[in-house]
Amino acid sequence: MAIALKQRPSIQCRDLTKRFIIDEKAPLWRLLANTRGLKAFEALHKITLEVPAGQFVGLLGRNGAGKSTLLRTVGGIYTPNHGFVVVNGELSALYELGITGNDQLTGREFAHRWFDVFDTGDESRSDLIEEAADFSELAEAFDRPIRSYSTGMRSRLYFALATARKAQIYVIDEVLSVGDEYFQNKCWRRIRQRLNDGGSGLIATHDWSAILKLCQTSHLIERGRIVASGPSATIVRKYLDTEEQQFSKVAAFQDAGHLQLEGRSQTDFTVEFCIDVKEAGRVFFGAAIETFMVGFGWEHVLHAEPTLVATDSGRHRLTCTFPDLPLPAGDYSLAVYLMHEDEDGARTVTDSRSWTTANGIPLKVSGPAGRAAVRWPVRVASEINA
Amino acid sequence: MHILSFDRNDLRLGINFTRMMIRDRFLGSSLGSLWAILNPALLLTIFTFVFGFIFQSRLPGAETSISFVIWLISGYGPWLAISEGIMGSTSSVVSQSGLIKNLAFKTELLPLSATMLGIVPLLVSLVVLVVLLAVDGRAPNVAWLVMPVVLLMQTLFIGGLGLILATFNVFKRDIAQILPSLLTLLLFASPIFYPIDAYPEYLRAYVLLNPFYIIANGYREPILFGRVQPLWELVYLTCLAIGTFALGLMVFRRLKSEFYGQL
Repeated sequence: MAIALKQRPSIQCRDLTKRFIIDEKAPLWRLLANTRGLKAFEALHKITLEVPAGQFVGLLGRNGAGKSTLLRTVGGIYTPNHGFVVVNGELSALYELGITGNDQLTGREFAHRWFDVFDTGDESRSDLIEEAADFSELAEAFDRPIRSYSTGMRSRLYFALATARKAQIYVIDEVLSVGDEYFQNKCWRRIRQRLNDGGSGLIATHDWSAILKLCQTSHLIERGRIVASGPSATIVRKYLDTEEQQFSKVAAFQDAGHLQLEGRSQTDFTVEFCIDVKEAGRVFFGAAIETFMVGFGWEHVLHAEPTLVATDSGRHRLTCTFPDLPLPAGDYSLAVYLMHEDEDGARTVTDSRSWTTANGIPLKVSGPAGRAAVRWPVRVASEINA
Repeated sequence: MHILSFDRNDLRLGINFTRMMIRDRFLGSSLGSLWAILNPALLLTIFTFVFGFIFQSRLPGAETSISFVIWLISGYGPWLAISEGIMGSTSSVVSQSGLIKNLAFKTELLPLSATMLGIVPLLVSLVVLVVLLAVDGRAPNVAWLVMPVVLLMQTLFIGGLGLILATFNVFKRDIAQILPSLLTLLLFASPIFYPIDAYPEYLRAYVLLNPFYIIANGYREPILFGRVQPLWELVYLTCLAIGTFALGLMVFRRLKSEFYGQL
């Protein structure tokens, strides 16, 4: 007898719509009797998404896009005006507000209160508190009032408490962007650990590199709507595009935006660019090949030092060669940039085609596996130094 | 088991909230939560001293002024519970907005837990009364057994009022500001500090319907005269309590999903 055992998704959202009434002048009886026609803000509009069991899904979006509202709706704090949420499993939530309440409490007293509120009382509380004290590394500060804590210490306590007991599903909102890098790293390790233990979750953060490391799938939210869903790398690229960087374009690439490059392992790889320089001055060109791996993120694999390519205004042609392309077959991204140097010797980037500006040039490498390196003597030639 | 869609877990949470509110109010002081008992005890001691020894107030026909103090506290103790409960529950939702935004729970529990805060000064008053009665050569009697019933109805009534006021206070914060003055007005409008005979004859029938007076009377009658208040008063209070509580829950539940736009 063959029964396909399909695990239920951890979180399911269908058509979630959430409106907040923001009518300051609305009389109370209107709120009680009939809220139609009152000034309202639609924070979420027909959000449909799914978090499969055993996966973390990323939420990207600018401030005020609706990420926190969505997470609170999933966590059951907000009731949606329309649509529904199904959560299959015990949920632990870390909302962006962090530690709230009376900050006269010591860390330990707060921990007791936390478990008063959250704990169903089946586990040994003192163990959980010791665990949280240990993880947060607050040491003797754990017995000092929270008002004496720094922001980082508060977030350490918050994270330690919220993740002290193993939940099946995590809802995490931006809490990891505070605290020092050492602790952030520790938090990510713990989340990865929970992921490896079969946990699932929904993560909203501006830290797109973290999303890339943890989430296979991501969604981009804009003004309460999901505007893009798909593999995290694609979504992050879209997300960054919404925060487009402005370049002066004093020296700019001439239409290199839609290039699709192909290379072959262990074979010279050459790419040509045309650049337009508007003001006389020294113009430098730099390049890098980057690759992306889930769990690690974007890595520079090859890097070309900035090279002088132009000294006067006008159109210039340059070629960039990676000899014996030392990369195994796979998908990469070529990043190139131009820097302009003024009379004082200050260099500014004036144009860029890079993954961080969401217009990196896709590079597909094929061919046999061979030796690979991170630094390679890349030759850059132009009219000046040719 | 569910009652009005509250379950055992909600009860546990509600009790924890009440404990939390008591702790929070006195946190940072060296005596801590002891103040919850000390404050009303001091207040009642001052009352006893001022009315018993300085003014030497006497009830008509009474030999000592201690019976006046007993009369006063048996009405003022319940009033302390009423005013603490109403004040606490009205501001409970706004002041615990962090909790509301960070934790998925039945937010009704907050005004209800705050209503319970009033029980502490009431119990302190009862203890003070037992002492004063003993000094006066009297002891608690069988009629005191009605007090838990009165307390239950009082809690439902104040809880209902608290739910409504807490809801409105989210949208119009002025409510918490005007409340202390309103309560003072209410106190002086109710025959708690003075006997009901102070009202002109034609008003007395209406004053008798004042639920705050009836609650106070629910304690006064057993304490002063060893008898249960008239049955119609208890029935009236019960109906009013259940009605107010139901209305409070309805109003709160109708609007609670709109709180977040305001917090």
